[in-house]
Amino acid sequence: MAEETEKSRAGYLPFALAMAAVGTAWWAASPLTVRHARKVQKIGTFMTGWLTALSEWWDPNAQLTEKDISPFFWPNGTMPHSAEYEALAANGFADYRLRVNGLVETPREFSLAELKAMPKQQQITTHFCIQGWTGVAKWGGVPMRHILDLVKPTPEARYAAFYSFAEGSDGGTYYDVHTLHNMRHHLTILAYEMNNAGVSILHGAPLRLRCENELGFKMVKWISAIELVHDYADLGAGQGGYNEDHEFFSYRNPI
Amino acid sequence: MNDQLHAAPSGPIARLKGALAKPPPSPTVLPHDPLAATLTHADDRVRISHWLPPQAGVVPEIRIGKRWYSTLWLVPIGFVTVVGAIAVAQGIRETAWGKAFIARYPGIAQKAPSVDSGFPLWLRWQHFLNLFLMTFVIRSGVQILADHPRLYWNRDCTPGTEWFRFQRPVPRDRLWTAKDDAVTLPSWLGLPGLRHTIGLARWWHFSVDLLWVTNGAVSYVNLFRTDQWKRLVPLTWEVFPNAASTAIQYASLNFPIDESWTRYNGLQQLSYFTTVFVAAPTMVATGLMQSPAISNKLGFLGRLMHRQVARSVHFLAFGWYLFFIPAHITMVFITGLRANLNHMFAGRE
Repeated sequence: MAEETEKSRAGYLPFALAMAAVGTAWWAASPLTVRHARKVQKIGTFMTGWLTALSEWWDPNAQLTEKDISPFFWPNGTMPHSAEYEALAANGFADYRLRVNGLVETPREFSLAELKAMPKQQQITTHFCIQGWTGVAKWGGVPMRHILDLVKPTPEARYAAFYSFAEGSDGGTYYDVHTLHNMRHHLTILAYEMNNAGVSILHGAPLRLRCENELGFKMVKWISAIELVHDYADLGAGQGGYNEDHEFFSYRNPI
Repeated sequence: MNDQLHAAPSGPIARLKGALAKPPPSPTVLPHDPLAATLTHADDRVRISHWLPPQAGVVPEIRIGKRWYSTLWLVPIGFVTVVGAIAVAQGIRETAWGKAFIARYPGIAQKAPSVDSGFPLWLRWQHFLNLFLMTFVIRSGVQILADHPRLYWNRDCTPGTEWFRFQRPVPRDRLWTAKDDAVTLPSWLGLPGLRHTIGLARWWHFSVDLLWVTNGAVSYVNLFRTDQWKRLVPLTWEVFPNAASTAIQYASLNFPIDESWTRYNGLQQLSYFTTVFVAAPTMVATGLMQSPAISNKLGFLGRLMHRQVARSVHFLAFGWYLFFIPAHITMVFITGLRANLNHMFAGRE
C-alpha cells in the first residue's frame, strides 16, 4: 500500500472536456442569439410558454392604498409626434374618437366625453415594467368589459389589438394584442385618469390600457383604436405586438 | 384579395410572405382597421443599425447614507483583509489557545457521518449540468439587470433612492425614459450583450432556469434517496467550531487534512449547504416574486416583499454566487487539483 505505484489522474480529461464545452457554449451564445433572435424567441416560447400561459390565468387582485402612490413614475417608450396627435392634444382631445371595430356586432366610436360618462372604475395598482422598475398609481377609467358589452364581440373574436398614436422605437405604429379573457378581467380598464388628474401626455393621454397581470409594455399608451381579431399572425410581424415583433419580447408576460 | 387590404409593407420578403400567406383562419373575412396598414414588418435577427445605440454605464456603486462608493474599493479592501487575515491566522496558530483549539477541532467534525459511496455518476453529471446551465443563467441575468441598472428597497423607484447602480444619476434637465437608462454590457459578459436586449435575455434566463431548476430538483431527490445528502447537511453543532478552525487553517496558508472523499470539512460543508439549500431556493423564490401575476396574487406577502425587494434580494443572493464560485474554483485548484478532479469528474479517489 505504501508503495502505491501511480496515483490516478482520471479526473483531468473529463474536466478538460467539460471546460471546453462551457467555453464553446460561452463563446457561441451571444453571436448566435443576435443572428437567430427569432429562433431564440420561438424556442423560448416552446420551453416556457406553458408556464406563462398558466400564470396568465391566475387572478391578480392586489390593490394598494392612497399612501402607496409613488411620487415618481418612470416615463418610457417613444412619445407620439404625429400632426394628428398634436392637433388632438392641442384641443384637449375634444375631437378624439376611440374606434372599436373588427369582429364585433356593432363597431363604435367613442368620444372622450362619452367614455367619461360611462361607469368609472378606480384602482391603485403597481405597474411592472419589463425592465425592472415599478411604480404605484391610482388609475381611473372605463372597464374594458363594459366596452366589450357595448360592441359585442362575435364568437370568432379571440383577441383585442390596441393601436397607439405613437410609433415604436424602429418606426411603424406601436400596437399590442391581448386575449379577451384578460380584457374581461375586473381590473382591466381604459384609463383616462392617473392620480386623480387626466393621464398626462407623458403617460399615455388621452387613453391607456391597464391590464394588471401583464408587464407594462403591453399596456398600450396613447390608444387610437381597438380592433377585435381572431388571430394576430397577420398583424405586423405576427408576434402579437410591436416589441414582440421588433425586440423579441414574449407575447405573454405575466412573469 | 384580402392581402391587399392588409397593405403589407413593400419589399421582396414582405411580398413573398404575402404570396405565401395562409388564408385567414377566421371564417369571417373582414378588412383590418386602417391602422393595421401602418404596422411594420420586423427582422428575424438583431440588426445593429436598427437597434438602440450603445451607452456605457459606470463601475457599480453602492450608496451608504447619502454618499456613493465605487465597488472598486472592494479590491484594496479585499487585499488588506486577506493579508490581515493571514497574519492574524498565523498569529493564532502560534498561541497555546490556538493550538488547543485546532487540536480539538481539526476541521472535520468528528461526529459527522462518513459517506462511503464515493461520487456516483449521477452526482458528477448533475454537478456538471448545474455549472454549465448556470453560465447562461448568470449572463442573461446580468443582461436583464443592465436594462434598468439600479436597485431599490422601495417600490417607487424614484431616481436617487436606489442603493446600487451602474449608471450615472438620472438627468433632471431633460426627459429621461427608462429605456434611455439601459446600459451596454460587453458581449462576452451579457447574453446577448447588446444594449436593451432584455427580450432575448429573458428567453435565455427563463428557459435555462427551467432546466437548472429541474436539474436541481432531481439532485435534491437523488441526494436524499442516497446517503449523499450527509455530505452537505450539517448534522452536528461541531460543524461550526470546525468551520472556524478550517478558516483559520486555510488563512494561515497551512491547509487542514483533506478527507473530502468521505467527509467535507466544516467550512466546505457550510458553504456548500448555503449554496445548494439556501442561495438556490432564494434565487427561485425571489425570481418568481418579480412577476406581476405572481406578485399581485401573493396578497400581503406580495406587498411586503414587493418586486424591488425581491429584485434586490435576488441580486444579493447572486452576490453569494459571485463570491462562492471563484472561491470554490480557487480551492479546487490549490487544495489538491488531481484528487479534487478525480472525485467530481471521474468518481475516483
